[in-house]
Order: sequence, then structure tokens, then C-alpha cells
Amino acid sequence: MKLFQRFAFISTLATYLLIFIGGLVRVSGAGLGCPDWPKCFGSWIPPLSASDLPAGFDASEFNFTLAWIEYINRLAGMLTGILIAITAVLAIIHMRRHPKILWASIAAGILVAFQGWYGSIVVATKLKPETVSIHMLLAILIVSLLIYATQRSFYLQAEQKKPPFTYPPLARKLILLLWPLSFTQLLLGTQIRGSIEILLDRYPLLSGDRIFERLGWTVPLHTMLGVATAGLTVITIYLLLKIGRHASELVRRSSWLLVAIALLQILAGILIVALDIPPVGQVFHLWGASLFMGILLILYLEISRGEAGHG
Amino acid sequence: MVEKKSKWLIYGLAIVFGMALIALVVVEIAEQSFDAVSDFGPMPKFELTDGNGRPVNNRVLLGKITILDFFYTGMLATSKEMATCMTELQRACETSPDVCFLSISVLPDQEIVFPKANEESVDRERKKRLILTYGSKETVNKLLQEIFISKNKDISNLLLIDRKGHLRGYFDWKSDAKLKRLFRNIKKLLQDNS
Repeated sequence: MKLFQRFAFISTLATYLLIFIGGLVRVSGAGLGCPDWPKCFGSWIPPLSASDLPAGFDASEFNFTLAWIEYINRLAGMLTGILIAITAVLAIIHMRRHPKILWASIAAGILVAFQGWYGSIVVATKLKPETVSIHMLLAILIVSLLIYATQRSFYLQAEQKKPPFTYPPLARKLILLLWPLSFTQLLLGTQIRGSIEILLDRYPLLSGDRIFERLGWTVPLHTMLGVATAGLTVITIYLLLKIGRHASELVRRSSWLLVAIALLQILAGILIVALDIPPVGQVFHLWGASLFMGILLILYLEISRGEAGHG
Repeated sequence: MVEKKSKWLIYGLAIVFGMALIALVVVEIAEQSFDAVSDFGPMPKFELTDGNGRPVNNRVLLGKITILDFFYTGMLATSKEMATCMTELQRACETSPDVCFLSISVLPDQEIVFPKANEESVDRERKKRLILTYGSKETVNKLLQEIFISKNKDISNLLLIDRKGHLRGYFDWKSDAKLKRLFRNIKKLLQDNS
């Protein structure tokens, strides 16, 4: 049991780290650092110089730094994949009597294998915006399954009686509303990112302010929904912590973290527009969105446990 | 309890700060990994004529970033392909008024079509930044010799010239990778001079 919990927890952290690394690869322009898949320039370890390239590869395509950035991303992906696979195997061994945990772990295992294969499609389509977005959404789905399995497994150890915490039913409903709202925000964000890539492909010299001028309705909508999400988050947390009173430690910590991320996301959005789309800002904006969705899920599971009274 | 909370806060902030630092370093290293913009010295002196019969010389390069090409419409298939590429390049540079185009006819007396700058098909904004020129056979051959042949470069390459009239790179217009590099270099030159 404890072994499963440890692996599920570490897999969740590793997946979040991988989402961060993936974002970093994208903004650093290293997405095609290795033009083939699963190998890199025909080798399992990237060449050290253009002179080491096997026949059939254009030397002008080789960039040592970008190849190694992408290679490290693939190694991190492989390690995370192995961790999730072990978690799924441990679930089969230890969690047969808990089908929700078992199937969430198995689904994460299957999806991570699919995600590995889909990485080849992302490279083959030369980072087509839609394929990159699907790659990222799959990562969110995998990490959500892992959070679900991890949290449920911790509840198994807790007492089976109803926890002594009560939360206003409206808070739970608001969290249920916040999840599709933040998912829509994530989709809109990827849509904006894709549109920027298409624009820059057509007009490579376009500056940041002129890019936003040409993006149309998506940016104002993303901003408005962002402010609405942050506002709704503050109301939800107020209900949970002030009205609900005896909130659990997990709810309290997650709540403050959620508010902090929601506000930081708005700040990151403002900085992205004001500072000509800085790459590091983009990485944290995307990563913040994935963390926000994960913490929403943690809160929802914890509150539902309080209401339902079973583990 | 308060100490424990602040400890977690410090850990959390340290992790985020560390990640931001790593991200900054990775992005900077990736940016540095792209080739620096070379300098092949000043553009050789030239005296040419534009489509309206006006003289064009090195002064036209000053204060602008110029993409220079040598064209010949006698070989229709290649010239069509190159014309398409040049139109795409001009469109891609529409948003940067500091980037101009200078096209030199290789064999003006044998051109099938000599596109004039005031042609209706060339829109106003592009017309201002596109100069189509020709010169005597000796002048053009001398330029080709000095720019390409003496440096072992293919004469079909595009040339990037900075605001001071220096040659900053040779780019194969048939290669997407080389064109991407051309734009990266233009961006660097735009930033350097801003």
C-alpha cells in the first residue's frame, strides 16, 4: 500500500516537472532539436558535432544545444513513463479491491504509453500547433488521473468514518464550475499560442504588441475569463475557509495555493503582453494553469470526502 | 505551527525561484546556440539603374537592412520558383519597414520579363521597399565575382546587408532552415540597431 502511494505521489510530481520541461523545450525553440523519433539524428545519444551526423541528415539542421535540450526532455519523459508504469503495476498488485484507484492508475499507464507514441507525431508534424496542444492536454489528463489515484489511496488509510469537516455545498458547486472554466482557459491559451505561431510563421518579424493586435477576440476573452476565474476562486475559498470553518489542513493549504496561483496567473498574463511574450513567462503561465487544475481536483476530492463521509 | 508554515512557504518559493532561474538559463543558452551574425565586410561598390532609369548605388543600402538577390527570368521554372519565394519574403517583412529588397538582373538584355518597380501588381508599400535594378554585363559580373565567386559562394544565394552596407550572410532561398536563419539574423540586426 505504502509503496503504491509513494510511487503514485512521485509520478504526480514527475509529471508536473515534465510539463514544465516540455514548456521550456517549446519556448526555447528546441522542439525539433531532434528531427527524428525515438532516435536523435539517427542515434540513441545525440551527436556531439555536425561532423558526427550519420548520412542522410542535413548538417545545417544540427544544433548541439537544441538537440541536447530535446534529448533531456525525452529522457525525463521516459523516466516519468517508467514511474507511471510501475505505479500501474503496483495498483494491479495492491489495489484490486479498490477499482477506482486501480482503473485510474491503469488508465494513466495506458495514456502515458500513448503519450510517448504521440510524441513521435508531434515531431513528425513539425510541431503543428494542434498536435502540440493535444500533447499538453493529454499530460493534464494523465496528471489528473495520478492525483485522483494518489489522493484516494491516502484516504484508504484514514478512518472510514465521516471526517469532522463541513463545507458549504455551494463551494463544491463552484469548484465544479471552476474546473470547466479553467479547462476552457487552457484551451483558449493553447489557441492563442497556436495563432501566435501561425502569425510568426507568416510574419517572422512581427513584434509582440502587433501580434496581439492581430489575434482578435481570443486575447480579450482569455483575459476576461481569467479575471472571472480568479474572482470565482476567491469567492470559493472564502466560502470554504470562512463559512465552512473547520476546514481540513489539506483544504486550507490547497485553498491558499489556489488563490496564489490564480493571482499569479493574471500577473503572468499581464507580463506576457507587456514584455513582448517573454519565453519564461509563457512556461510559468502554462505550468500555473496545469497546477491550478490539479489543485482544484485535490480540493474537490477532499470536500467530497467530507460531504460523503467515505474514503 | 507558524514556523512550519513559513518553512513550507520558503521551500515553495525557493523551488519556484530555482525553476525560473533554470528556465532563464536554458532559454538564454538556446538563444546563444543560434549562429552569430557573420560579417563578410562592406558590399563592393556598385552603380546600377532601376526600372525607371534612375541610378542606384551603395548609398541606397545605408540605414536599412537589405535582402539582395540576383535574378534572371530567362530560366522560367527557376525564376518562377524564386519569384514566389521573394514575394513570400517581402510579405513576411511587411511588418518591418526597415527591411528592404534590392534585386539585380544578371542578364538584363536577355530577361524575358523585366519587372518594373511601378508595375501595378506590386502594391504601394512593397514598391517603396523593393528596388529592381540592372547594370552593364561587366558591372554585374564584377559584382558576382566579388560577392560570390571569390568567396566560394553559390550565386543563387540571397544576401543580407546591414544598415552600414556590410555583407552579413549568404542564404539558400530553397532551404527552409536557411530562411529561418535569415529571419533570426534580421531580427538580431534590427535589435542591434534599434
